[in-house]
Amino acid sequence: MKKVGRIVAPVTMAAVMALSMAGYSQAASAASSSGSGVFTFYTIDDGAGFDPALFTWDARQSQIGIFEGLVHFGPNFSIAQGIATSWKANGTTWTFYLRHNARFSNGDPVTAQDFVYSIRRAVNPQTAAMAHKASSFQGDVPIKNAQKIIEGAAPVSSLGVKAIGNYTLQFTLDRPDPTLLSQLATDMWQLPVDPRVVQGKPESIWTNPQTIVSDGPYMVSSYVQGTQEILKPNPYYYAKVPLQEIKILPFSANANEYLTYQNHQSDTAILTPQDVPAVKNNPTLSKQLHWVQTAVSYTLQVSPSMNPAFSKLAVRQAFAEAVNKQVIANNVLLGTGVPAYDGKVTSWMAPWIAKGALQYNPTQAQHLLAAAGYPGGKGFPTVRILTGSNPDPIAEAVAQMWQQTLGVNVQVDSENWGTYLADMTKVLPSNEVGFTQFGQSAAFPDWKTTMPLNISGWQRTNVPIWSMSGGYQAQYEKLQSYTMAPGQKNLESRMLIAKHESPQVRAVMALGVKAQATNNAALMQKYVIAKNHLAYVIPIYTVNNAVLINPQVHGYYPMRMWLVTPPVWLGYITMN
Amino acid sequence: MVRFLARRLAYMFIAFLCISLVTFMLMKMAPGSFFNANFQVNGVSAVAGSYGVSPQVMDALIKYYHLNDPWYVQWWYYVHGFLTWHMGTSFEYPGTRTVTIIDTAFPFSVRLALMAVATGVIIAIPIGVTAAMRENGWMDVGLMFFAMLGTSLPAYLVAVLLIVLFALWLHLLPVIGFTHPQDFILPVLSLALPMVGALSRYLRNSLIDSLHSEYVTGVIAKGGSLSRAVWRHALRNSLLPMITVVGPQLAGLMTGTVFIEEIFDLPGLGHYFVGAANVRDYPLIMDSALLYATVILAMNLLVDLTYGLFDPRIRRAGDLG
Repeated sequence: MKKVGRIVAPVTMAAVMALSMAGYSQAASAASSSGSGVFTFYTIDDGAGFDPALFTWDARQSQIGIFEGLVHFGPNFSIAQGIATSWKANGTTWTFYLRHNARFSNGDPVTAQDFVYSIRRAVNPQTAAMAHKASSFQGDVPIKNAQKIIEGAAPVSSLGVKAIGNYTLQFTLDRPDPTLLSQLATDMWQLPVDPRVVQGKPESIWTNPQTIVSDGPYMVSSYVQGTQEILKPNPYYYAKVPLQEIKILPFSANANEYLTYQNHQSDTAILTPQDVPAVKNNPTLSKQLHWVQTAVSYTLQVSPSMNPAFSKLAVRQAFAEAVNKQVIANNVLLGTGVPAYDGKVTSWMAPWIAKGALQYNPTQAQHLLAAAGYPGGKGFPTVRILTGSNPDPIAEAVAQMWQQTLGVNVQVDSENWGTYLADMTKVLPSNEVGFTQFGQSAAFPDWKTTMPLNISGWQRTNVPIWSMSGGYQAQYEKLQSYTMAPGQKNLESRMLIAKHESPQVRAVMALGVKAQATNNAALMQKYVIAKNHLAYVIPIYTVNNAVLINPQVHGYYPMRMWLVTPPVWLGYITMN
Repeated sequence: MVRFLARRLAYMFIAFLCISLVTFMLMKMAPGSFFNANFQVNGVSAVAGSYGVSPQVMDALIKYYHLNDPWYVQWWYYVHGFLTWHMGTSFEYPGTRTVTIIDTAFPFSVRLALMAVATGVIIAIPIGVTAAMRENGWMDVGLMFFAMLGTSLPAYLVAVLLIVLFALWLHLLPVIGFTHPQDFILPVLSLALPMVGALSRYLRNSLIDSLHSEYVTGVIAKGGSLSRAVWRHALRNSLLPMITVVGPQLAGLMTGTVFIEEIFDLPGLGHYFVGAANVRDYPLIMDSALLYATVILAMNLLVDLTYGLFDPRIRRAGDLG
């Protein structure tokens, strides 16, 4: 008996482990073979909560199936009915007719008044200020009086959104906007919240599954910030919800999605370039591999410097034409990137983009640099590439190309994220010029939405700052210090830019504003090409995700606007 | 004993203040800041979570977090908030107080550490006993070799090896999740196995000392078997010193689960601490670092008190010192 007692602990432990393993094996095989209706995938979870009025990654999850707005995306970014079953546009007036049987997850009906409340709440700057976050309404949709409300010049009640009865919603715009539906399908601010639940409540209700009330096919059942969330069907949803459960895992640079997929714990996996050859060589997995081009591009943007070398157009174009993007896409990224020709307008959105772009032309690049006074790179200042990832093989490859083609000295500064953010606005000394790596992404799948609305709006981008000469860049750097209030800082930055920006840049900006105002597609194309020929930004590659998808999963239409390409609408997902 | 305790508590408080000051200084010296990131990307779509934060919100945030106050004022806000358990909200999770994050994450880390220690002890005892009973035999040498190997391997490396074996090759155990018992097997083993080496070696040596003592010789002389001498007499005495080894191991584990929580994506305090450090989330960095410091100081005090309880000489030395 004592002998038994002596060995009981290790044996018990071994038995528990064995049983657990057996249980896990059964669960894994059930999930992967019998179509249990549990779909697991990775996406970005910033732990900020699911409030659709705020610009957070969790709120973006709200948009793909936890909440349901007027419309959402269907396959290939078609516009699908959401709570609105039909709509009509008449100049600047859009009228949406809502379904009568839509309900929140607590059983409350979804009405036009709820939409009015929710949109006003999102546009109201107080909402974001109280939450210490950015608003999900970024001001790019021309709803009447929205800008004035954001600036505090008009009451929220004056917003151009009104309910006509319980099930008709009307928008009044400042100008006709043919891209409105696409923007509605992308944006979170149009998602309805239940005023009876939200009004007067603290922001913390949006991180507690017990208090999150939504109207989409799925509702938040459990949520651990930045770690895992589980969605269950909304019991009051107007249609049949296809899955029993959806498990969302947090995407991160450390997450080994390929391993989790191989271990049957995830139904999708975005591969790293290193994983691609192994998957291609595996007869089973290679059939589960899908390629998804995103809207996210890796770009190099001219850094502020006291040295005027990059103020010459020929020099910037020489650097742009010395980069062989196809070699980077094929040999460094192993297919997980395709050549990019604009930061926001991608080839899949606008097939014409490659045609008018600056092409790889090493001979011409050398001529351009020589014509600018730097034959063979002689006398050219040291070029620094600042990047926020370590290591950054793309930056290393570009550096090598510039050294070999242009004969210039290039150094890559691969820094951790915090250091990179601190260094990106520093003005380089007079013996150095440089580029800073930026990820850019279009917000909407329609390239026409990347047009500048007005010149002051475009000043929010960095291009006018780079186009200023070194002395003014140094002044701009001083404005970045914490000693000045942000509001004042912003104002003085704008004044400085307006006074000293390059006439070339201003002309291109004016072209973009005109193209947008006239909705002239040819003019828009001309603007995009002209902007890229300025070569303040060198687009390198657009992310082309290699995605493994469990063959039992159906209805996975990727949201290409996001780096992690989750399903565009969780309501479409079914499993065998 | 009271003087000893009072003295140790005073040392603890001084150490706590020093640690808080060093952490604060290091945190402030690290380049970049959460709000710097927000401002830099204002209007540039590089960081979606920070996109378009208005200058008014930035102003409010800077005031709310006292970022324009002198450094010692900022430091004191953190220390005072921690000591009174009235901490502010995180930068990264502005709707959530850091105390709420700690309240859920820290117990998770403690549970993980306790499971690892329990598993480590359960595995170490039979190994240590077997080695001691076959002193200098091939079994002893072999077991101690593997024990030394285990001690030499860091937990994160053990984790990778276990993942390769049990997940990648055998598909037997999960590598992510924390809702089912089997989710914890790999993380717990990753933490426990490196500990087994030290514990089993300690137990073996202690047990060999006991086995060479006169009372064990007496047991055997009376006709008792070696096995009976070990399990009924020597082991009980040899386990006592192990308590003093397990204490620091537990403290080390509670603060040392960071890598394992990251690898297995577990919602422990280490997981949040790493995230906070990456984005320069000052309130969460300070509060979790201070909690870690308090735990280590408390565990050390507990071990010292345990020593004192078991060995009056230490207690007296403390009183005199």
